[in-house]
Amino acid sequence: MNFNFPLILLSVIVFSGVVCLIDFIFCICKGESFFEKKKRPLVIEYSRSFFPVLLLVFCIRSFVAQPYRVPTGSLEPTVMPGDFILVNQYHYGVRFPIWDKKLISVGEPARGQIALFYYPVDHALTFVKRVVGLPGDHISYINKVLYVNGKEQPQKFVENVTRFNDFGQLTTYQKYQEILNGVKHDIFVRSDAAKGNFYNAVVPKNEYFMMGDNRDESDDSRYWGFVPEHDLVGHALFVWMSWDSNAAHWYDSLRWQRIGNKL
Amino acid sequence: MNVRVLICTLAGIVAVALLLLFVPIQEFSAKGIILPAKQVRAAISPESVIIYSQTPQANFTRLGEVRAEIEFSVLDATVKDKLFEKVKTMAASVGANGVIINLMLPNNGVRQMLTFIGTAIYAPTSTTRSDRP
Repeated sequence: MNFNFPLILLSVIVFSGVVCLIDFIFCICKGESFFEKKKRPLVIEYSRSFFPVLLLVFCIRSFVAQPYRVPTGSLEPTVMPGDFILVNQYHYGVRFPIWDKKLISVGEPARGQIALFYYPVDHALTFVKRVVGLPGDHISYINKVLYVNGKEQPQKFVENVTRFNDFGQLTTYQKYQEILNGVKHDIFVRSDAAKGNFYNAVVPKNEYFMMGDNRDESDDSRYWGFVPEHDLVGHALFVWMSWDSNAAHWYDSLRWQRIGNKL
Repeated sequence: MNVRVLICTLAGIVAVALLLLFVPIQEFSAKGIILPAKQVRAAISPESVIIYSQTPQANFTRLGEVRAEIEFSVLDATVKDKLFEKVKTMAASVGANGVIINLMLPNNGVRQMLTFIGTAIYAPTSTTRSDRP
C-alpha cells in the first residue's frame, strides 16, 4: 500500500465525513438543527469545517486538474527541472484515484502529447514523458532518429546547447526540432552517447511507448517497458510556475519566461 | 469526552480502517522491454532461454537488448526469479535462446529496485553451455 498524498487526503475526508454524518444523525435524533451556530467539541467542529473544503480539493485534484513539479531534466528542453506543470486529469478518462478505475471514457492519448502516468514498476512515483507509440505501433530508433510504423519522424538541427545535467556535469547537447506525428517540439541528443538503436518494438494492446525529449538522459519506456492504459494520469497542459533551485541568487530563481509555456 | 464525540470519532476511525482495508496492495512484478535488433527470429518457449553471467564462448547472433526492473522490499531469490522469468519471456519473443547479463544492479535509493540490462542472443543449441549466475 502506498501512503501517497491522495490516500492521506481521502482518509481525512472519510474520517471527517463520517464524523459529520454521525453528528447529523445525532442532531436529527435530538431534534437539533445541524446548521445551528453553537460551540461544538473540537473533533466535530473541525470535521464540519474541513470536510467540504477537503472534498472540493480532492474532487478538483482527482477529476479536473492537479499541479505537478518536474524534478528531472528528462523532458528537456521542453520541460525543465523545477517546472510546475498543470495536468488535465480527465483528458484520458475520469478515474477514481487510489483504485485507478476509469469511471468515464473521455479521450485517448495521441502521439506527441506529454502525459503524466504512474511509473509502472512503482506506483508511488509519477513520471511525465511524451507519448511516442500507441497500441499496435512499430517503433524504431536508428541513429537517434525515431521511426513510427516505418515512417521517419523528421528532425532539424537547431543549435548546440551546453549546460549542467541532472548529475551536475557540464554537458553539450545538440538541440533538434522534431516533428512527431505533426507535433513540433525540441529534443536534446548527445553525440557522445551510445546510439541505442532498436528496430520494430511492437506496442502491445492497451499500452503506450513513452520517451523523454532529452533522448540520451531519460529513464523511459526504453528501460522499463510500456505504460499500461490504466497507469495514465493525465495530459500536461502548461507550465504555471518555474523555479530554478540552482540559481546563483534567490531573485533569479523564478524563470518568468517559462511561465505560461504551453506543452 | 461525551458519548456523542466518542461515537463520532470511533465511527470515523472504523471508516478509515475499512477504507485502508480495500486499498489495493501493489504486487512487485517485473517490468521491462526487449529492444529488438534489426534481425530477429521466430518466438520460442521461455523455458529454453539460458541466462549467462559471462559472454559464452560459442558463436552467437545478437537479437536485441533486454531491460527490466523490479521493485523489492527484501532482495531475495524470489525477486531474482521473477526478474529472470520476465527476462526469459521477453528474450524468447524474439527467438533468443540466451541472455548475457550486462548489468544487474540493486538500487537502494528513493526507488528500491533491481535493474537488469542484458543482451538477447541466439546460439546454436549444440554449442551452448549453461553458465547460470
